[in-house]
This record gives sequence, C-alpha cells and structure tokens, in this order.
Amino acid sequence: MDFSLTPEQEMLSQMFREFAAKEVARTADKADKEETLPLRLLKRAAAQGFMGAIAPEEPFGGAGLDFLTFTLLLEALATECASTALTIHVHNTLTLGTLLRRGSAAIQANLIPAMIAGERIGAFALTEAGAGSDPTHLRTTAVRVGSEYVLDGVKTWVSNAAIAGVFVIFAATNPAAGPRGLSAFAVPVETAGLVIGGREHTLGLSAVSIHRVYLNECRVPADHLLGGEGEGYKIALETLDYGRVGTAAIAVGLARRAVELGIKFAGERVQFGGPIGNKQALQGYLADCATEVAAAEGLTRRAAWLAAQGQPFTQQAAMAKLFASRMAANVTNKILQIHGGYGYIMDYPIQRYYRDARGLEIIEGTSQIQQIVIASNLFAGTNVKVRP
Amino acid sequence: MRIVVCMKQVYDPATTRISRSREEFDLRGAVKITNTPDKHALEAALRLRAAVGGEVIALSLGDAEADDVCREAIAMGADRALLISGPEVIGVTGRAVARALTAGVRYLDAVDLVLTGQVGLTDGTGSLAPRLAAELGWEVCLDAVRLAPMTDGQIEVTVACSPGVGEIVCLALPAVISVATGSERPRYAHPARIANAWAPGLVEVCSCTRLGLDAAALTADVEVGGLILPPERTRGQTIVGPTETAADELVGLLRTKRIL
Amino acid sequence: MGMDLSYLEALMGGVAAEPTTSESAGGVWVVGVEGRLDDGLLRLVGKARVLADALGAYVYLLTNGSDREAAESTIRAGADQVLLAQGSPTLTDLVSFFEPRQPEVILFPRTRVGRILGAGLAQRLDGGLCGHAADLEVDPIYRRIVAHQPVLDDAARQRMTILAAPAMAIVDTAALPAAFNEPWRSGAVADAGADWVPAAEPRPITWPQPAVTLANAAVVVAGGRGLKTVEGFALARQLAQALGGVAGGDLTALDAGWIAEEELIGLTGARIAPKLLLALGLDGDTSLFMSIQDAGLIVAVQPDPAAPIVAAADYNIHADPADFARALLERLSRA
Repeated sequence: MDFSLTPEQEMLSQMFREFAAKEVARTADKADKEETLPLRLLKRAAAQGFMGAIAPEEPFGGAGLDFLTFTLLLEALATECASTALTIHVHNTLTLGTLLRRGSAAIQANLIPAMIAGERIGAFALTEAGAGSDPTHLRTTAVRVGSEYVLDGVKTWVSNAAIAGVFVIFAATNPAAGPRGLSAFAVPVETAGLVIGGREHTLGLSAVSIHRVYLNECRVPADHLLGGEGEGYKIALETLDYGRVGTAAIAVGLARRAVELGIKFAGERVQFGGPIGNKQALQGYLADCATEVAAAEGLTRRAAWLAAQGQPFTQQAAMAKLFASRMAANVTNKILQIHGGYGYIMDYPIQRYYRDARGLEIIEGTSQIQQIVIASNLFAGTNVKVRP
Repeated sequence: MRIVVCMKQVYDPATTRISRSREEFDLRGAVKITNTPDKHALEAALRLRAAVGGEVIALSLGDAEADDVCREAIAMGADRALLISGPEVIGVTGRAVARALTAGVRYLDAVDLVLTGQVGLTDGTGSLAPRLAAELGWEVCLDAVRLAPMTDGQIEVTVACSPGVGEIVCLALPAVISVATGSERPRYAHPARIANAWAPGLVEVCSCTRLGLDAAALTADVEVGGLILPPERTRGQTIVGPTETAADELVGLLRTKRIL
Repeated sequence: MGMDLSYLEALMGGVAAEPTTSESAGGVWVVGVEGRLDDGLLRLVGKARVLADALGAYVYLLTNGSDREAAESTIRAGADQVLLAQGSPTLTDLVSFFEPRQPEVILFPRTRVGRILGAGLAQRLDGGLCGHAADLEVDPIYRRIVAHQPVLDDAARQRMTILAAPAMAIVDTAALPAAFNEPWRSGAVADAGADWVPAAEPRPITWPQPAVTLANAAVVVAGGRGLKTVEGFALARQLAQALGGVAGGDLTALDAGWIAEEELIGLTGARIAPKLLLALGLDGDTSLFMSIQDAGLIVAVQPDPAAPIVAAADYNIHADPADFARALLERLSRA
C-alpha cells in the first residue's frame, strides 16, 4: 500500500500548478464574464502538451500521461478555472481518448496530430433533446450509402462545439436495434452538412462553448466509423467511465480552492471586533469542508488509479463522480455563506466557483444516473431489477 | 558551446514563515523548490544552445534532495547535470560554495560559459557569479537580460541597470554571467522530458573529495545567526494637531521613510 | 595558550588600543571606485566610522571619484584618510592593492561594480563576506563584524557573523542612516599610488517600460466621499502628481462620477501595492481592504474617528480631507 505519487508525477503536478497559477488564473474571471476561453490559452496548453495529454508519445508525439496523472492536470486547472479544465477534459478524455481507443489507423493519422497540436479541439456529441441521460433512444441516424455514411439529426449540449475541429458523434445505424444499433463517428468540422447551432447560456462553467449541432445530410467516409457498426453504446459507456473520473477531479480541484478562499476571507473579514474565522462555528464549517475535499480526493484518486492500471473501474468512477460533484456543490455553498453578502455579489471569485460546482452535478451523467449505475452493481446477481 | 548553469534548491518563500516568538524561520510546511532566478539562467542557456548548438549542463550542490533540481533542469531541457553532494557540503557558506562549484566547472572541462541566477530567493545576495569568476579567473557580468553570441569568441550581453535603462557590454569567453529575472520567462518543464528525466546516466553525483577539495577549502567564512525582526506594524496611530502642523508632520514622516 | 585580552577589555567598557599610525595594517576600508562620490558612499563612510570607533581603528576611503576638495566632504562624513586613485581597477588591481595592507574590514556599496569587485576580492583574499548587508555592527567580545542581511524581501534581517579575515560586506547604502557632516573632523588626503586603466565605456541602451498604473504605482492617492465635490477630488489628482504617483478612488467616487472605471480601487477594480497609500476621505470596506493588503504605508485623512479605515491605516489625520490636501500640496510645492 503506497499513497505517494512517483517523482515524475510530483514534478508534473508541480508543473501543472505552475501553469495554472501563471496562465489560467489571470484569464479565468474574464473568460467567465465573456463566456469564452482565450484561444491563446489553449495554444499555450497545447505547447505544454496538454492537448495531447493522454496520447502516447509513440507514434503521435503526445505527452503520454497515464490517466491518474491526467486527473492531476484537471485538478490543477480546475483550481483556477473549471471551464478551462472542462474544455481540456472533453477534448482529451471524451474525444481524443475515443479516437485513440476506437479510431481506424487512417482516422488516427489524419486527426490526432492536429488534436495534439491544439489545431483541432475535440467535441463530444451524444445528447439529444429527447435523449439526455438516455442514449438508447437517439433520433440521429447514420445511413450507409456506398462508401459513406449520411448522418442526419440534431445534437444538443455539445461541449466545445464552437471551437471544435473534430466531433465524436453518436447516431443510430440500426434504429430498430435500440442500444445495439448505435454507432460512433469521427466528424471533422469542415464536413459539409455539419452546422453549429445556437449557444446555451449556462449558470456556470460559462466559458465552455456549449451549442446545438445540426447534422443536415452530413456525409462522412466509412472509415470515420469508430469501432464497428453497433458498437456505439459500448463506446459511449466506456468513454463516460473515464469522463466521470475526470469530472470528479475537476470537482476536487475546484473545491480545494474554494476552501482556500474561505480560509482567506475568514481571516480578513472583521466583524464584532475580530476576524470571523475566530468564530468556532466557522472553524467547524471549514474543517468539514476540508475533510469532504480530502474524502473526494481519495475516491477520485482510487478510481483514476484503477483506470490507469487497466482494472475495472465503472463502479468507482460513478461513486467518485457522485460524491465529488455533490461535495463541490456543498462546499462552495458553505464557503459562499462564509462570505456573507460579499459572496452574493459578483466581485468575489467564490460566486464563480459556486456556479461552476453546481454544473458538475449535472454534466456527464446527473447524480441520479450515477446512483443507478452504482445501484445496478450493488444488486447484480440478485432478483432486484435496477432500471432508470 | 558548453554552458554550465548553477542551480540551487531553496525554500519556497511563499511557504516560509518567520516565527516572531523564536526569532527564526518557521520551516514547518516549507516546500523546497528550484531557485526561480536560476531557472531564468537555464532559459537563457537553452536559448543560446538553440542559437549556436552545444551542451547545457546543470550544476548543483546540496544534499540528496537537490537531485530534484537536477531532474527539473533536465526536464526543462538541460542535457545532463552534475550534483556535488556529500555530508561535507551540508551548510557550507558562500566562499566554499564558490570553491566547490569552481571545482565542478573544472571537472566538467572545456566550459565556455557559466550562468547563474541573479539572486537566491530567500537571501538574495547575488554574489555567486563574481565569486566564481574570481576563482576561475574569468570575465564576469551581472544582471544580463539578453545574451547574444558573437563569432569571435565573445558574447554580447545586454544588462539592465534600472527599469528601461541598460547597457551593452562584450565579454571574452570563457565568462561567468548572472542572468536577471527580467530576462525571458523560464519555460515549463515538458511532460515528455519529465517522463525521461529519471533515465539512468543523466545526473552524475560527485563528492568534494573526488573534485580534489579538502575540508580546509570548505571552512565557513561566515556564521549564520538569528533573525532581527522589524517592529510589528502598529496600525491606527494618529497624527494629532491642526491641519497645518499635521501636514508638516506627514512631510517629515514621508522623508524619514524615504518616500519623498 | 595566550589569553585574549580584548575579551576582558570588552567586559570592562570596550576600550581598545589607540591606533598608533595611519600606515599600520588593518583599518576599516570603504571602496568606491565608480568615478563618483555620491551620498550613498558618504553614508557608507559614516557606517565605517561607527564600526571603526568600536574597533579602535581608522577609516580609509579608496576612491577614484574625487579630487582633493571634494575629498573634504568624506572627511566630514567620517574618513580618516582618503586615498585618491586614477582610472578603474580590475579585480587583480584591487588584490595587489590590498594584499600588503592587511585590512581588517572592507566595505563596498551594493552597486553593480561594487558587487563584482567586492565578492571577487573576498574570494581572492580568502576573506569572509556578507554579499548583501543592510546594516553592520561589531560583536565586541570576539571583535567580529556582524552584518544584517535582508531575507524574504526584507521581511526580516539575518545576523551574519563574518568569521574569516578580512571581514567584508557589500552594503545597501540606501538602508543606512544619513551621512555625517561634521566640520570638526580632521583627516588626510593622499595619493593611492594607483594608476589604473580607465574603464571601457559601455554602450547605453533604453527600452520602453510599461506605463505606471494603479496596479504598479509606488504612490497611490485614493479619494472617496469625504472629498465632497469634484473639485475636492481634483486635489487628490494634484497630490498624486506632486508625489509622483497615480490617483484612484473607491466605489463612492465612481458613483459620484469623479473617476473612470479603470481608476477604481477594489475587488471589481484594481488591487494595489504601493509603498504609500494616501487615503483622502475614504471610509473603507472589506472590498477596499482586500485590495490594499499589499500596500506599504497607509495614511488616512478622515474626520470621522469611527470610520473603518482608521483601524486599517498606519497613520490617521483627523481633518477635513480637502483642507488637508491643500495644506500638503502647498508644502510639497515649497519643497
């Protein structure tokens, strides 16, 4: 049993924090207000290897981080700006990861170098208006015509949409077969018929570009199919397992900074003749918050470690996501309360953390979906049926 | 060009506290990091290497933990590192540090240029570069913001004297130059290089004895004592009296505080 | 084994032996070889005087920046003997100058030349060196120089006893007290017997600097509601100009239309870290206090002794801010 990071992981983690403090911190508030990430920041991230974080060094020239080390990156970025962390998370975990695991050699050679260079940002289009948490009822279809697939339908809640250079898009190749009829495609942004629709203005995570995406008889070559026909559901589930651990890491990083903000404010805000941190009630608040962060960190690290070891981690991923996102919402709520009125005005950073944290309970599977995943594992082998 | 960059490990000032009651550093929770000004020197060396080719070698002195400094230098782009280590170098002072590093530079052989950071983060004396130059008998220049190699075995150095004002000097190589923190920002270590920084053979560890230094060469020239603390900031004092005399008093106060 | 009598002497009042002749070995030396004699060097001579009095030694100034007349000012500042040299010394020049003289203490000003020659000379003479001293004292018992070296950006100073001889220090002369100017002092001016080669003139260069803003200004004059009118606030701007700083205001000044958005100090505006913050008619609230945490000296002019800023300021002046600003402006223009 050893909880320590390797020297390489320690140095990487230190570099991630340095990058976050120097490059991300100064752009975070502006990005939140203007609902857009500066492209320069993503270029810098690419130069630092972050846009190819999980791609292997050979043959792609990626940074080759194992998944646990990658979650340390997300944690560090989310400490300063959850939107930046989520953008890089979606790009790496959901899009690049899927291409790496399931893309054909041609697709990988075509798209992955540009993704690593940050020239093609990745987006992930699974959700539809009628199928949010339920990817078994997708209405987007893909019909094989000669050497091409023709994609048709509307995707909603596509993160990174407006800045993306490549989309992973899920569509039904055999609508009658339900989940077994789903397939996944890599679709470059320049493909005719792919149209970026309107933007969703969100409560938090505001700098993440979330749009509707229209597929109007969008034709892609057959080798853009990821895995095989009918493997889409499997691809979605395995990708979301990684995604959940990443989201949990973002929650941990975000909440850790929230606690720091709380400690700082409690030491500076004077009421009734002394800093409010002198009040025992507040000390209890902060002790609880710090403990919750540590607990979530433990769960998340273990899930990430299992993933990096190639062991099954679906259950741990869902638990980490459920606990860490709930923890982040809870902790930021408490720390905002410590700020009193100052927490409720837009001047203090805590309001951004509070808004961002709330979103983590919803994206990549709501808490209720995580409960279903966890419960279905609990009741496996019994006569109890766990159904959404 | 063979460039040696002297790099040391220091306590991160952001995590170093001062205990008022004990009048000493409170190092609980203090984290050791690579002296950031030294990273500026390394950045300058890497840029020189990119321009004229050659080799960049990090040179450090310290306990086993100073290995981290060498690995970080390699992760940032140094080709290799020499760490002078052993029980005899623990707690050595400026004069001995310069002697040991000089022995290191001689051991590395055929060195064209030695770069150092401008100052140490915690103490900030900045006397290593001139000390080394004196030991090596080389030319020296302090506070360089830009280095440009020239063809005739010289190097053109732009020096910052005050904000926005500087001068250009030419040094004959070999030389020792301290690089100002106003120079190009040091790069971050790259993930791929970090992954390979622990490969065998990159960091050579060497004792002082092997470098030919005896105990007498390492004796202390100074002895570090306790801290002297400034009076605690007293807030809420009042300058009494009518407006006119208060204005006089404030002008006097600003003069003694050297603000006027 | 002989007995160290200086130890006893120190206990009995610290009277050391009278120096016999100025040509004897030892002495406290100040080296200022940058072709000028400035106030910093005079202050350093004063510090050398204090050390020499405690050690019972003479003060020597080696300089190339003075003629015989100007040398008088260094004698009034505490030098016993001024040695005039020509040209600029190399390190080797200084080594051969000092080796036969066996100085006890050598002080350099903390300039670029001083840092190079001081540290180099210490290394060559096998001396002990404090590379950055803000002050110096004598440990009377062991007759050693103790330097005070700033640490952590001068948050504290570390005592550094110089063990090896000669005891050397590179001194931040700006931190020293004002130079002595005592006409009754006497001393000699002599030729150093050193004819050094003139230094090569470096090529000067300038580069643009970022403009002074609230965030990086050394002096900030901040105005608030207590200035009452736009004319009152104009006084804050005039004061900022007179002090070489930048004017700003709090939310009340913004709401009154006296300042633009980019002149706002506070969490929505600028965080500031000046050496001096002069707060005219500011009440102060948490948003303001969190933005001025890194300010050095805070002086508040505020008629209401119950205003929150009173407890946060180092010095308070209970007066009408506009009246006080006028009085201060008048004094600054006189100076």
